[in-house]
Amino acid sequence: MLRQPSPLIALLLLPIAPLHAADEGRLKATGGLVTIEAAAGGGLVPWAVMAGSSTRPGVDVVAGFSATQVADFRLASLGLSASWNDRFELSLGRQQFTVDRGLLPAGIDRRIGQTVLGAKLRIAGDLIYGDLPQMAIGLQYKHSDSDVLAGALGARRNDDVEAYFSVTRLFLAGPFDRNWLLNGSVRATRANETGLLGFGRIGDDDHALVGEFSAAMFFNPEFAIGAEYRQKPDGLPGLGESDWRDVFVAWVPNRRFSLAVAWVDLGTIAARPDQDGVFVSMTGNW
Amino acid sequence: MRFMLMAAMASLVFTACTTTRETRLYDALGGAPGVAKLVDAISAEYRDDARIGFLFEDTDQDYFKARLREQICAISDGGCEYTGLSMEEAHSGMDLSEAQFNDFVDASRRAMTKAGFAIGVQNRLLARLAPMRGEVIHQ
Repeated sequence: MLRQPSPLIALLLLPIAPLHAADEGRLKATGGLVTIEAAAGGGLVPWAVMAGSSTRPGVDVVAGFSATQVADFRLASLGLSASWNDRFELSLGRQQFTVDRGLLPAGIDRRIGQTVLGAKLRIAGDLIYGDLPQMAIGLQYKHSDSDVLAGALGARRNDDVEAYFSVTRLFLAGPFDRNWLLNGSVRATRANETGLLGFGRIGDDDHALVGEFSAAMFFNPEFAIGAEYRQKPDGLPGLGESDWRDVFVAWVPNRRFSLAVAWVDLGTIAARPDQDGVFVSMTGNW
Repeated sequence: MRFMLMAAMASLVFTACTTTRETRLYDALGGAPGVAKLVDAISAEYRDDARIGFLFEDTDQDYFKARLREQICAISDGGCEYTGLSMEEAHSGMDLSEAQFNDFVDASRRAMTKAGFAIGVQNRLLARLAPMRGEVIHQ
């Protein structure tokens, strides 16, 4: 029954994390959260950081769960992410997108699942120290279960590979004497609604280059507020795919656990406008 | 309405920047007494730390604290001259790891919090210590 992971799995896993406390490593919060696509980053946007808090040499495994509820849809995502030597990250994510009751005729499955397998390599720089910001390149292989629906809507395929490049830096004592995290990512993608509605479209099978941005200010080492913006391709004709954005508060009490709550604006999804709502994300590591 | 909000935020940012930038870090730390309090707190925290305390077993605490006071005074524009060893020399043979350096950062933050230093002042001091990392680790 791996096709539909339950949020309960994450809830069962996470409390274990503090028992396997990583006693040393990087500074807390430097591993980011587990994104909806399982790579380490903000909520929606991958960062150049490696999951967890491993340093050289070291391995770290992180589990994360997020739930998004907007007007007509829900998105649950479960992610596992492992990093080696603060250099290389492998991640596995499973998403389930649910259309609210009443929007689809009876008898049609209201759920779409997607699996995301990711790899990320840190290529230069450092999040905090030295002259260069941390830079990483990543690949995400995505497989959407929605072959029939996506095909009917005009998508060309239900799996694809995306590539991205991220630059992330924590600026110490920036404005207000607070530490600021800034991230910019560029992604080459053909995904419709991140792949949930397949990839490519009839008449246009080119990759689009989209920008994804995060900014956060740490009030103190435990609390941060921030915002994200994720550009998305034009999408399938007639569905009005929108860019995504969110404003979040993150709580990072220690190196092993973090919690983020966000207001998300997913714009128009499948021609349904005004999809804004709440996003909650938990990340725990061993 | 949106313009008013932006103007209010801009003036907030402006005031925050000017007020903090006008205060010399040394003064924000509380001058000589403040730096002395800070160094007492930091050296105690390092010594008692389970992971890095052992590095201070043979340290002459008075000498260490005197040099650290000079150094913090110097990098916070307090006008002191640091008379101790260079950072490379001082950490030579320790081969401190990145994780141990982070332990020092964590311990420093705990010490500053216990001693009552505000987050903004902590961030400013750590921002000035951060560039020394390359001269501290792997020596």
